[in-house]
Amino acid sequence: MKFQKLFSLSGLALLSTALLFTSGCRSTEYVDADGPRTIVTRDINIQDWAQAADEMVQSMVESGVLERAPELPAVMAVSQIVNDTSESVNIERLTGRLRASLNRTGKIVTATTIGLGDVPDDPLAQREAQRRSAERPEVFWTLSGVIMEDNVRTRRTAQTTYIFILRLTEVDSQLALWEDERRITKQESRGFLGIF
Amino acid sequence: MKTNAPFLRLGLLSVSIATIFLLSACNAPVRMTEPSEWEGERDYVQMDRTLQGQVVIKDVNRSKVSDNLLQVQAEVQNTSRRMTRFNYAFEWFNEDGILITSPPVTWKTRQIEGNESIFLTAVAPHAEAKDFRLKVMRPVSRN
Repeated sequence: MKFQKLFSLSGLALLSTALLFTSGCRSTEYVDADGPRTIVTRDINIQDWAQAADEMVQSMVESGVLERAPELPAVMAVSQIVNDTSESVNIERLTGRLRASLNRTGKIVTATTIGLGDVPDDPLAQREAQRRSAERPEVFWTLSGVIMEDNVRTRRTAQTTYIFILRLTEVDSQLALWEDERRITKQESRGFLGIF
Repeated sequence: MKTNAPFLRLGLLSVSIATIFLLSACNAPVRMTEPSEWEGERDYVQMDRTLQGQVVIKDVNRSKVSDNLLQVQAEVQNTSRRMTRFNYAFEWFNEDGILITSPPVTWKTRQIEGNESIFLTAVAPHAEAKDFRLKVMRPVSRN
């Protein structure tokens, strides 16, 4: 009787210690930002920007439209890309990677002194160019687009789709010679206790 | 003797629960399916062993787009009857076999229904890329 009581008390003590250990542990570690161990959430996240930018560049390159420019690399300026999602995000996350990838192809270079509303990416370069009366680069392409969000929900599952639409306009003809759409869909299922 | 049974059961239950908690403690995030060994006859495909018997690379084609950029297409088949997900990434190498590190390798996730075939395509980031490697692995679980 005494032994069994002692045994149960020891068990309870061990349980309490284990609970303390479980709740007290926390670990922080580096993960590869482009690797498979990044956290997946229903919000738009770093993987989505990377995937959308990569696929858009791939589509642009595969279309063969970039060779239409008389001289390569052709100059591109980033126009308006509307964020029509519920999230307040910096569109540069998309355009930054996109521009870098396009530059690497050798088919496009980006003008950093020309921006929508006369707000350039590099104000200092613009000011210096004006001071030296340098010629503005002749923009051949402009990049514009929109990012949208679509939410649907059933009793147990919530789904969000992010729709990326981008177009490349040839300034001379004012025609969108390339346009594409990419969708990234994520689902979140209700847990056992009905809590998301 | 009968009166001691509840104490004994309580003790055993507590020890069992404590063991479970202790085993799970400090173990988050849980890591699964670390690909300990890559396999694949051709060096341009590396397949996670845990996907063996579920996902196979049926064919790999290469071409050129935009004059000088290497384009790769791989046909992937789910040989099982269940939907499965996998991560994949393309690595690019220059003519000396040196890995091109910019842009960094980006892992993407695809799902493939039972007995379905899909194509993975990629275009090299720049003209210096002369060779490639496709890496396929099971998604990593986190909690």
